[in-house]
This record gives sequence, structure tokens and C-alpha cells, in this order.
Amino acid sequence: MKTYINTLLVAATVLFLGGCSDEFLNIPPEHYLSKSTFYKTESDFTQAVTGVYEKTRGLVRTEGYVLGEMRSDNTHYILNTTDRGNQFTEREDVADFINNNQNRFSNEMYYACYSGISRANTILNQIKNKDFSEEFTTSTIGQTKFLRALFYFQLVRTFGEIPLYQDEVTDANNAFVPLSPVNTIYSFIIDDVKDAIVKLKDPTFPQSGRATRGSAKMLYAKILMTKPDRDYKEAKKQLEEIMKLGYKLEDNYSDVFETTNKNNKESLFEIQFMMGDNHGQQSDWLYSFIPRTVEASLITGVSGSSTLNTGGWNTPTQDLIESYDPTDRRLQFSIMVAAGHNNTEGNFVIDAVLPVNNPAISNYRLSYPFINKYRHAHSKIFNTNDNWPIFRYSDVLLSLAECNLVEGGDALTLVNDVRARAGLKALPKVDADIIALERRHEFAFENQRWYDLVRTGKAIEVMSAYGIKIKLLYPYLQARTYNITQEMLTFPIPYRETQINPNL
Amino acid sequence: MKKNFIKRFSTTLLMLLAIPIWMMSQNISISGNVKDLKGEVLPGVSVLEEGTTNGIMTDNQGNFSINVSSNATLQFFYLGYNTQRVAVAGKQQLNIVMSEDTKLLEEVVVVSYGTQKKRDVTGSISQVNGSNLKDLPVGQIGQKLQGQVAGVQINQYTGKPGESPAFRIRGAASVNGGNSPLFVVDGMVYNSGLNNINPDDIESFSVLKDAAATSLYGSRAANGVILITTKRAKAGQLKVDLNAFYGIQSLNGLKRLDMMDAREFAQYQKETYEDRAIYESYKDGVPEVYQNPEKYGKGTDWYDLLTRTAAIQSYNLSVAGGNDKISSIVILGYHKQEGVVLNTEFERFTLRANNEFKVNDKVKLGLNIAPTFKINKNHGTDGGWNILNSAILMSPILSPYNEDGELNVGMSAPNMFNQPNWLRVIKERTNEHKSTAILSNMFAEIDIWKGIKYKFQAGIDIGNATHRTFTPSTSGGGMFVAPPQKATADYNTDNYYDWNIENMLSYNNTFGDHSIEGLLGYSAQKYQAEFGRLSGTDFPDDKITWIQGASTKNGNSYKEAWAVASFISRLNYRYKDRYLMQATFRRDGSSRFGFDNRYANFPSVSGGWIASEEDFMKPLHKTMNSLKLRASYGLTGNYNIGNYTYIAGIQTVDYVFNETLASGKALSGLGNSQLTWEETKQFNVGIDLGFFNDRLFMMYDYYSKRTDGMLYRIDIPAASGFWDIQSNVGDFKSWGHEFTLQSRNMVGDFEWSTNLNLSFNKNEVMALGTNNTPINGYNNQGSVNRLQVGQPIGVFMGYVYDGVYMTQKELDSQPKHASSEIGTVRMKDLNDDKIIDEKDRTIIGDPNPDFIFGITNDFSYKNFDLSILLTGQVGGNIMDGNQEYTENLDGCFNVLRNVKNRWRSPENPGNGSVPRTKLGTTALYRYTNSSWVYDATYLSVRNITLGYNIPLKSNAYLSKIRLYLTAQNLKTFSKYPGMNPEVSENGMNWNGLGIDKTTYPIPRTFSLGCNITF
Repeated sequence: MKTYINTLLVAATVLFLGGCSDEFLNIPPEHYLSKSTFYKTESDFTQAVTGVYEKTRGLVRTEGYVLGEMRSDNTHYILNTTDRGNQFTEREDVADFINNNQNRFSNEMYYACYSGISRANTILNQIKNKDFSEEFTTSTIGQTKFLRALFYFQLVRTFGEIPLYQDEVTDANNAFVPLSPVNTIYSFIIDDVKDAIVKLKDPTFPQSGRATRGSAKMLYAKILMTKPDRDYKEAKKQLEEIMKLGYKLEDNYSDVFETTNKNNKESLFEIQFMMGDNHGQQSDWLYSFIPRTVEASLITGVSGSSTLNTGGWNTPTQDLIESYDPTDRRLQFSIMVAAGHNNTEGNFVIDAVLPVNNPAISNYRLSYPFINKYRHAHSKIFNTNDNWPIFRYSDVLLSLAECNLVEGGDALTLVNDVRARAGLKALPKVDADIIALERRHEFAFENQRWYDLVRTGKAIEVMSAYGIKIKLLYPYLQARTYNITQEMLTFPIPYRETQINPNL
Repeated sequence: MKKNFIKRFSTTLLMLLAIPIWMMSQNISISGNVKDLKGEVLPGVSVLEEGTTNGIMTDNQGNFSINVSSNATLQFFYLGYNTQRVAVAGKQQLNIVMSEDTKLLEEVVVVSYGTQKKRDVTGSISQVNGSNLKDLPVGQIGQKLQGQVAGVQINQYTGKPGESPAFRIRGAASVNGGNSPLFVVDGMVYNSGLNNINPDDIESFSVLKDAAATSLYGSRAANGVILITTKRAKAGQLKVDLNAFYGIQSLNGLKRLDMMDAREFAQYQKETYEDRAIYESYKDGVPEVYQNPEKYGKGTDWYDLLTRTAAIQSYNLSVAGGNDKISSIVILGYHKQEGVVLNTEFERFTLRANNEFKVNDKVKLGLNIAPTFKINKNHGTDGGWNILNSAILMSPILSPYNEDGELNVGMSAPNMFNQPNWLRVIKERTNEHKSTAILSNMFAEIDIWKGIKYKFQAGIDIGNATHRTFTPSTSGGGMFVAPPQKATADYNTDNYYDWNIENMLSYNNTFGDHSIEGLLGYSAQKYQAEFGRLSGTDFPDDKITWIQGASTKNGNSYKEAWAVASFISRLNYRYKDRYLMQATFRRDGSSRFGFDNRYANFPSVSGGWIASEEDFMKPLHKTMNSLKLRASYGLTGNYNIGNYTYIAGIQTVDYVFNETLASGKALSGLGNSQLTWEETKQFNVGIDLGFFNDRLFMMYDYYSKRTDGMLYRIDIPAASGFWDIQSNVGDFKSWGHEFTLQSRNMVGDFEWSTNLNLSFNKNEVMALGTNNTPINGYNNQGSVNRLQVGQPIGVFMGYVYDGVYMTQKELDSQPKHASSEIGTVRMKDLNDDKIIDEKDRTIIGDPNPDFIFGITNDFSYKNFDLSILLTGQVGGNIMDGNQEYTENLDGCFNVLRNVKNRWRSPENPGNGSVPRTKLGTTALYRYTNSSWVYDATYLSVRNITLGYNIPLKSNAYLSKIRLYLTAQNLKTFSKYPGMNPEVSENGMNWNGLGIDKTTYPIPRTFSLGCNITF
């Protein structure tokens, strides 16, 4: 029998399945590229780096504001009693501190960051031994390492101990990585960001949206001010160097976010979006921030703007509104109020859009504040043109003020510069609480608040007090909400990962 | 080589157009008539002058006339009858009576790459003749085969017109997407769906089950093989058949979900608001529409509105004839099924011409061509929150019509989701598939020398399909999103081109007691498909429904291809016609696998012993006339992984710099150059027993399959940047018993025969990935089915439902979920940590049945015939996934009447089965749990057919008229409260197996049909 098979085998291979069938059977896809043909030319790597930038959008989509703002005292949500689907209630769970490791929003943040890291790791591995110009290689590695550091920084401050993927994953064998201590993660990030600072160029204006040495230094400063053993001295050094790079505050706070003024001189790094048909580069979060309504055209300027299925999230709290000086220009620009009534089906109808604290609001049966900061002209629903700011020059000033409080130096002028632009009078002196409040107002709805609360050690105190207030305000909040403990300062690693990876 | 092939092929195609010319000749004449024992004339009997090629066939009246030499001996052959030899001896008139050959083992069955006498078969093969299925008033081959063959499970998981049911031979062999058997039509592996084939074109189905039967199909055979042979003309006079039926399908009297009517629903909503005021400080009062439930009656039954009674009809005309040189059959078919859901329909036009030409005594040519045109209108009826599910969940208070009797656009009600008017949706949306396919095969068979034959076979299947949709602004949106929405349109085109060639050399000879058959062959197949995708939106209005009218247009196109090249061989050896041996071997190369593992070998060995032929068994022959033992072992493969999975692809991920689009790229997955076939080793033993000259015939098979290197996308930590990797990991085994019984219980004037088949299929996951991590089933909702080592495939994961916390005391003393309060649902705390959380999820059901069965009873008395087909399954579970919605307590859907029994207060606690409606506590009751799991056992009276042959006087025009009445899906007995106990979410793939998320209903059909022979 065996001889029979062997004979046939030989006959078959020789007669039929020889050279010609190898060619017959080699059918690579024609409509997309494969790894074996990509990562060859400079153009390939340019596109690959663009691919890493693309993942930065994951930092600022729904999971961005759910974790960065709704978790904090800045924003809450308009309760949706009809749709209790998980895709909605899990946002509420984060806001109300009853989230668990199946929460899709914390999980999405985890996945997005690691996806970006994976793209970066592939580039850093594939570019080895390539015969490219030194300038190209330097720029490519510089940007890639900046982005990898940005993703890891977001991960470590959000989740704490995480697995550290340092190299490209090419098969299942190196896909199962154990947890690393927070300090190990930070030293890996710092290596990356330091290398990025060396390799990236100083900003030139107008900026393109790519990372610059300024972006990297700001990231480095943030890392130094966040990691368990803070290094305000080095952070101060980095921030002072940024001040020599040509950045300036915009004259008006609103100009910073203007869609005709992207990547302006105040911008150290922002996530790029562009409205338009078919290319999928648009932003759309405005439609989540508007109250749920049958027609939001008074806000969006576009008819047919139903937000019944998208709106009601990241709603500014009364706590936040009351914390502003009423004359603060940032309050008037960042928040507005949709006033109106409910129709017979119980759906909200907007009758007017008014500034906060406008007495006319009381003329309407119902009113909801909403984030106005990202409301700009656009022509199609769910197709807006806003970029999302990550690092701004005012952050450099306020961060340096914070360092100077610790290390010595002039904090007051820095804070007053930021306040002056907001139309506020100069303060005689500053302390850490004043800077924290200033940051809350300056960076409202830029996903900084929760991380600032955690970084400054105020999260439990502030959020517990806020919890008592909001539970009185909203009787629907169960007793289990806002019972804030130390563990809640980070988010749990996704359940899926803990089940699949025995090393976690 | 390809070009030549096409050229040659198209030349041959042209020959089809040549009208066959019947030829007559010869000298001394003898005529006669052939009848069977009952005195019925036998048309199409071969009459051959022995030792010559001179032959003819009897005509429709069984008459023949032939010129022979006066001392000739005539042979009369007729399939299924005993051959007769009659010396002419100078006679001029011969009246022949032929007796039926009842010995089933003498049947010829179609096997891979050839035919065999049933008695010589060593593998496990079941054959079904197309004529047995002709009365079933359904359009799909799968529907016809349901319950006919042991070891074949066919589930009608949806009733969508034109949708083929899911097939499985011997359960699942694999956990990846492909568990459907391989279909081979007239020798060509067929990749474009059974739906293209007119069931009336089919002469027989051969279901190949074990490795001996299937392994010649190598890398594609692990799920079993179904060989379809289309009809051939028999030499003889022209025969014209008309088969037709017309039926009415309806849902009247079939099981429906027990949903609340308008009054009950208003009452439920009213109470919900009242409870909200009590428990949640709600202050705005009960909305007006719910304030006075008494003012409502039954309200709107949305499901009724969307469904209807609909016609099904089918017409087939076949013309067949031929002589000893040429035979030809042409079959024209038309089938139309209106759907029982509005605006759904399936229509199929088919034509088939099968021709055979005997060029001379050495060369035979065959040519088949079968074009098909189909129109299929189907909507997104199936699945959660799709049209039918949404209609069930819609408020019965709302009406689809406004005061003027016109259809409303959007629907909304307090506390409910805004959504479209589903009646309007089903009426207004266009969703139309049109497809044309032409399947052509040809063969040339050359008798070279002393039993050595060469056969060239080629097939080509080309097809083109378009799919057009238009959703007007008034019926856009979906659950949560009410129209008006922007109108949208799609226009998708697919065209494919699939060719196959085979070169085969066979040898067949007998030396005394030794018989040898050998086969050597080479085959190559290549499939290429191109896809165009167009979509448009921003239409100025709803008047123009083509993309031409859209302001925003979007397009895409791509291509897929694969190829298989194979070497095949088979050796059969028989000693004394009772010791049988077979060895087969196939070597396959496939484009779908990694460079490092592109070729594999698929051998099989089998043997049989016809024990009843032994002398010591002869005394038993009066009772047990045949006894055959079979055993086989072999390897088959599964290559269903998609075309380019071994490649790490690059995806487009664009970004923006300088406010202009920047092209971005990233890996879309991990490649695997080691990727290769799944290998299934299968062992089979069988016994065939015939009693009383085969009046009672039994077949029993035991099989055991083990699949190694299972193809699956194994989950890897997403932190790696990838969700999964396609790998050959995991082992899986399945085993089972099959039992077939064919019994002619009564013979004579009153005939009664029974055909029973039973299949026990069991399976178990043996290993998964590198560390046996279970696959799927991790989430509280969705993701129900799981693969877990030691379990059958697709078990349900969820919480164990344990009623409601009826009192504060119960709540205080018992384990709790974070959201638990008095009156909320209680799940079981399985790990005894006093906390109910995802760690308490466990296996709560198994969708795999214990066994399935089919029983056919045929009766005939004089001109009447009656056939009753029962099918069913015993054991297994169904999960009513709808209960996530139909018992949703947030007030946003219509709910089951049972929700009246919910907890409202300690004084009014309900019956302890349904929890309260309080906000923030209801989610746990929506998590997958054991209260949704039901026994899937069912018995279906699948078909009853009563036929009557109109007695005709012998005439030149009509030889037979039979009229019949059928009832299809007459009654299903099942404990499952849902509509269809065969339901699954995703065909019969393990992920979704046994889960009901609402599918298109299976109607009951009454029809009237006729078979007329001219």
C-alpha cells in the first residue's frame, strides 16, 4: 500500500504538479497590498507613519470624552430612560463609577492605543537596515516614537499596569505579553520621547499637523509631571525650552478652535479631521454633545439634524458652570444652552439657543447646557470639520506655573497671561488649587479634567463631594454610584484580554 | 492551455444547436411489446441484438420494432428490472413481461468520479432519486432533501424565498465558517449555490459520507459531498413530460409569539409610569396615550400587516428522446414563489439540455448546458431589530396609517424608540437580486483498448449577478432612527467565472475470480470573481431610484480568485465478487494556503465483505438474502478559509495633514505562511442487511471523525494590535450512528412501504489554540455560543436564571448583583462568592440535537397513492434570543403577555418570574440567561401527498395523467414557544447555532399538482 502511494506521489509530482502548478496556484490578491510587498520604499513608510497618526483619533472619539470628561465633575449625561442599551448605559457607568471590565469605552481606549502601538512597532522593526536617506529615517523614527509614547502614556495613566509590547508582533508566539510595572512602562516611554525630541524638528508655522519637537517636549513634560516619582525640575526645563520655539497664545480664546485656524501658533499637537464626502476624515462629536432632539438645526445650522439616537452626552454640569467667573469669556464660548419643550411623544424640541446665565432661559419649559466649543459651520449632518486639541500653548504656561510652584520661579505671570486672554483680571497670587481651577476652565471638554484630578491627587476628594451633590439632584442614581475608591482611579484591563492572555 | 480549452469548449457548445437527427436502418423485421408484471407498458426499454451494437428502445406504448438476423437473440434491459434474453427463432411478434429487480444491492450508484454497483460499494453512500422528491411543493433542493437521508441534517432556519436551507453531513466536522458539504454537479465541483439548479433537472443525489466515499475530493471533502446527477435521455421514442404545481402558502394557524395587544400594552406602560412616580421621583405623570387603556382594543398587529397569504407555482416541461447514437433531453423550468412577507419573491427560469453522442463504438461525447435566470426580492427581514423583529416589538397602539388613510412616515410614542413605519418600509424599499448563470459540462470518453478508457471532462460555470437597492427618504432609518432620512441606493455587481478540467484514465478488467478497476486522473479548477460596488445618496427626492439621480456617489471594485490542482487515483479490487477492496489517493494543491504548506495528500482505504455470498450463509437466504459488512478509513480536508488568509494584508487608513488627505497604510491582520488544510481522519464501519429478497433492507453505519489542525481565527490579545490569527489549531472530534430502514410492508394491490432514517451525531471540542482558551461567549449580551474543550460546539453561555427577589428578606440574605434591589431578577451565584457577576456565567444549553429523523410512508392502491413525510429532532436546545427584547422592562418595546406577571411592590409581587421595571435595575434581566433556553425537540408533519392516476385508454397522445394534492409543513409539534424550531442566527454555523433572533416564517403550503406524460 505504502509503496503504491509513494509511487503515485512521485508520479503525480513529476507529471502533474510540477513547476507549472506552482505558478497556477500562486494567486496573490490584486486589490490590496500585502506585507511581503509593502514596507519597501520611503513612500511606503511615509504612508505607514500616516497610518499611526490615524490611530490617534481613537484617543478623542467617544471613549476619549467618556473617560476624560464624563468621569469627572465637568460633564454628565441627559438620562435616556427609553434606550437602556449597553452602548449607552456603559457611558453612564463610567460617569457614575459603576463601570467594570466589560465596559466598551474603557476597552475601546485600550484597543485603540495598542493598535497604534502595533502600527508603530511594525514601522520601527521594518525600517531596520533600509537604505533610506538619514533625514527620512530620522524623521520617520522620530514621529513614530513620539506617537508610540503618546499611546503608552494614555494607556499607563488610564489603566496603570499594562503589558509592554516593545517589538512587532508577527505571529501568535509573541502576542501574549505579561503586565509590566508602571515604572517600567514610564521608563520605556521616556526613552521613546527623548529619542523623539532629538529626532523631530522644531515647529515651523503654519504647521502641518505632524508632531514636532514642541509636541514631544510637551508630552515629555506631561509624563514627568504624571509619573509616580514626579520630576518637576526636568519638566520645567522642557517647558521653558518650548517657550523658545515660537508658540504664542491666540488673541481670542475662540480662535483657538476655529476650523479656519487649524494647527495655529498656539497648537503643539492636535488630532486632524476634515469634513467632506466619501473620504471618511470628518469629525462628528458635536452631534453627541447636543441634547437628544428631533431637530438640532438651530445648533448645527444643518436641517435634518436629528440627535435622538446620538445626543445627550458630555453635558456640562451645573457644578462646572457655577465654578466659572460669569464674565469669563471661556464660559460663554465653551457652553451654551438649548432651550425648548417636549413634544407629545416626549421628544425635546429646541426653540432657542442661548448663552448660559441668560435670563430668557427661564421662559422655556426645558433647557439643557451643551458644549459649544466644537460648534462650527458645516454643511452635512455628522460631518464636521473640527480638530481635537491635545497640547496647547496655554497648557505649557499653566504646566510651567505648576512646576514653578514646586521648583521656584514665576508662576503668577504665567497664570495671569492665560486669565488675561479670558478677559479676567489679574490675580495677586496663585496656589495649586487656583491653577487646577484655571486648568478646568481653560481645558474644559478637552479630555484633561479627569486626568488632572488623578494627577493632582484630588480625584477621590473632589468626585466624592460631587457625587453627594449629583445623587441629590438625580434620584435615579442608585446607592452604589459614586462610591469612589483608590482602584477607580484607573480603569480595568478589558475582560476579553484577561480571558485570552493567561499572562495577565 | 486555458485559451485552447475555451476555444474547444465553445466549438462544442455550438454543437448543441445542431438538432439531433434520429437515425433508422436494418433488414429483417420483428416487433413486439414490453410490459411489467402489473401489465403496465414499459417505455424506454433497451432492446439489443446480442453480440452486435444493433439496438432500439421501446416507445411510449412499450412497442418496439427492430430488424435483426433470424437466428438472433434479443436482450431486454431496463433499469431496476431483471434483464431478459429471448431467442427470436423466426418469430415476428414478441410480447415480453419484465419483472422488477427488487434486490437493492444491484442498483447502480453514482460515486466520486464514476459509478458503481451498490453491491460493490465499500464506503458510506446514500442515494436519493429525484423522482421521489418531485411532489414536494418547494423551490429549493435542500427543502426537498430534508428528512430523506440518514446522516444529513438540513435546517430551514429561515423561510426567505429562494434561500437554500443549511446542510450538514454527519454534523459539523469543523468550527470555521464552512460546514456545508461540497456539491458536485455532473462531475464539476459547483461553487455558485444550489439555488441555480432546477430540482426537476435532477436524476439523483448521491450523498457521500465516509472517507472512502469522499476522499477523492481531498481538501474540500471533510464536510461530506453531495453528487448531483442531472437527467439523461434514455434511447427510445420521444417522451414529453409536464410537471406542474400551484400552491397557496399561509401562516394562518401557525405558532406566533404571545405579545400584548393595544389595551394590555397601554396598561403596562401606564403602570410603568405609575411605578416610576413611586420609586424614581418621576413627576411628569402618565403620558396621555397610556392614560386610558380601556379605550383601546386589540390595536395593530404589525406582524399580521407585514405578512400575507401567497402563491407558489412551478412548471417543468421536459422533452427526451434518442436512439443508439444520440440521446437528448431538454428541460424547461419556471418556478415562482411569492413570499408570505410583503414585497418578497423568488422567481427562477431554467433551461437544461443534456446530450450524449456515440460517435462510434469507441468514442462517446456528452454535452450539457444549463442556463438559469433568477430574480429574488428580499429585504432585511431576519435578525434582531430588523423588519420582522421590529414589527413584533412595535407598539400595538400605533397605526401605520394616518387619519387620511395614508401611510405614516416615522413612528414614535412616549418612552419608545423612534423608528420607521415598518409597513411602509417593506412596501417601499427596493431590494432586488438578479442573477444569470450558465453551467456547461462536456465529456469525451474513449475506449482505448481492452478495458482501458480515457475520459476528458470539462465544466464551466459563468455567472453574473446584480443587487440593487433603493431606500426612499420615507422608509429609511431603522430601530432608533425614524425617517425622513436621506434616500440611499446601491448597485452591486458580481461576476464570476469558474472552470474545471479533468483528464482520467481508467482500467477495468476481470481475470477469473479477480476483478480490477483502476483510475488515474488529473484535475484543475480555477474560480475568479469580480465585484463592483456602487452607492449613492443625497437624492433631491424619491422620484429617481437609480444612482444617476444621486448627488453623492461612491464606488469600489475588487477581485477574488482561487485555484486547486489535483492528482487523483483509485484502485478497486474484487475477489469472487464478495471480497471488496478499495484504495483512493488524492494530492491537492491550493492557492489558499501558505507557501510552505500548499500541497497535501488525502488517502483512503476501505473493504467490504458480502458475507451472504458465502456458502455457509446460503441456507439463510430465504430470510436474510444479503449481508454486507463495510469498513473504511481515510483523510479528507477543509479549505474554507477565504482566499488570502495566509497573507498579511495592508489596509488603507488615511489621515489629514495640511488640511489635505494623506494616504495612510497599516497591516490589517497577521499572515501565516504555515497555514494549511484541516485534516479530518474518518473511520467508518457499516452493515447492509437485506431480508426476504430485500423487502426489508437495513443499513447501519458508525463513524468517528477527528479533525486536527482545525482552521480557525484564534483570538489573541488585542494589545498585540490584532484580534486574531488564522491558524491550524485545535482538535475536534465527532462520531455517530446512522440507521436506515427501507421496508415494503405490503405488496400487491395495496402497497405500503416505509423509509426510515435516524442520525445520531455527537461532537466534542478536543483542543483549542495553544492553551485551550475557550472561543467566544464572553459577553453579557450577544456572543452566546462558545467553543470550549470537552464540550460540543456552540454551547450557550449565560447566567442561570433563578427568579425574582420577592421580599426584602430574600434580597438581604441572598447573593446579589451590583444592581440588585427588591423585585429585581436573581441569577444563580455559581461560585458562591455572594456576588453575582460575570464569573457566574456558565453553560446553559447545547444546540446540538441528540438525534434527527425522517420517516416516509408511501401507500398506493390502484390509481391512488399517498405519501406522508415526518421529520424531526430529539434533544438539543434553542435560545429565544428575542426575549432580550420581548421581555425588556424599560418600556421601549411591546412585550410578551407574561410581563403582566412582573413584580411591582411587595403587595403586588407577580408570579415570581418577571422582575420590576425600575430604572437602573433592568439590565441584568436582559443579559443572556437560562430562562431563554428551550427544548428544541420537534416533530414536523413535513409533507402529505395524495395522488391519483387518471386511467387512460391507450392512445397516441397521452400516456399518463397524475393529479396530486399536497400539504407542506402541515403541522409542527414542539414545546418551543417561538415560531420555528429549526431556527439559527447564522445558517448552521456554530456561532449563532440554535439562536432565534426572528427569521422569515416558514409557511404552510397547500398545493395542487399534475404529472402529465405525452
